[in-house]
Amino acid sequence: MNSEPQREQKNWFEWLVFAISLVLVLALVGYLCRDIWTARSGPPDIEITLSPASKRSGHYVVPVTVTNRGYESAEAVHLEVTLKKKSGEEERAEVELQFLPRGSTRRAVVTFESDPAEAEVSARVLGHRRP
Amino acid sequence: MPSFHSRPLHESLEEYGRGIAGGLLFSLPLLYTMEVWWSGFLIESSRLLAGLFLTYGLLLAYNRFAGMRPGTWAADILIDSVEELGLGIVLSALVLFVLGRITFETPSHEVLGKIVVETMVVAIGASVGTAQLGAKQAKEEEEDSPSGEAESREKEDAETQSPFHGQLLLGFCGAVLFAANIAPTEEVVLIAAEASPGRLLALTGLSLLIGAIILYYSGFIGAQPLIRGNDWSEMVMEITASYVIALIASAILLWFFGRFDGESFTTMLGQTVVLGFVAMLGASAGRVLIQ
Repeated sequence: MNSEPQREQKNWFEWLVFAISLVLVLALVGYLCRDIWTARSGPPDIEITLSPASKRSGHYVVPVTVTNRGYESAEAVHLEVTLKKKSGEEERAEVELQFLPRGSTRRAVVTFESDPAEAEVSARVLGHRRP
Repeated sequence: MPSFHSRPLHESLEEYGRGIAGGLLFSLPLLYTMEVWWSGFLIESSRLLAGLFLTYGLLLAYNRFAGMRPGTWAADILIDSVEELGLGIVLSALVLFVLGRITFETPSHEVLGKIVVETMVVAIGASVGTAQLGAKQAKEEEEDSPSGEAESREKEDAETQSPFHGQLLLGFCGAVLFAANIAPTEEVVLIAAEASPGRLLALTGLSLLIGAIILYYSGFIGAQPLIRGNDWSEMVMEITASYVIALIASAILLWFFGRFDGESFTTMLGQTVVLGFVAMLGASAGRVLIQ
């Protein structure tokens, strides 16, 4: 092949593309290597934050923010939000998230008949799958 | 006396354009598949790294035996393969962003995971596209002999025909290119879980039969110069080797996408045979088409 009389040289644009590609590939490999060597592991650590409710067509909507602070992803995350009125009466709402990758934040809402502002609201993870 | 001159800019732009087209053409099913997005954050870093290296190896093999400038191990091949990987990364990132699969709020591990998984096929597709989608190859322009064009073409084919191990590596590239679009889907697991041993055996037979038809009995475009002989022993050897390559490619892809995690050996074998059918199409028809 090299005996061919014409051997084309790369032009500046091709060198530029090569340089950018090399930087991208090395950066990717570098990140993955660092991630492997630091060897962080541990089960999903799921944090739930409830925001103030708002009234929408007859019921109260409570935004829920869920963050996975662990180093593993969680699958089929089942959340339960409980509203406990001063009278002792309880109202429950549930929501399921298909995936909660490590380090990610997902948003959901739950709805109640009673006003959460006049009650005690708590949330917990009922369970999730480990992929 | 070799004369050195730079390739014109419009030619390199055309090459990258074909690379982009090929990359998208072969990977669109992957870019539009949910299981692939999920695998971006489910696959651990060490596996992603292995996938990246495997892709680079496949690019080297393809560019060595079939790409734009086949038949050399020069630095050009190493450089071209890095470029195609880079093109794959940029293209995957762009399409995933436009499709809303990665946003500025997505955690870095998820973003990179998704990009790496998509890049594997986009980069190989880009390499195939650059080499195969051109309207007129430069070497054909040069030899514009008025008589016996078919003859010279045939002679050229015989000259550039890659050796047996080259054919196996190209078969592997073809198998990965085809099977990667099916490997991450739930359907493979479902079919394997429900299939009886008899069905799997039938699938094996069908895979071998398809291989035989494509390589020997259908006058498939470009297949003739690639196979070595028509006697029985050569034929059995060629088809069996292609199928083994297809099964290996299937097993590697299934492992990469986490389909082997926690499975019994029987289920793994079943999945490999189920995907092996697709991979065999890639290792026979795909292999012929990409070179």
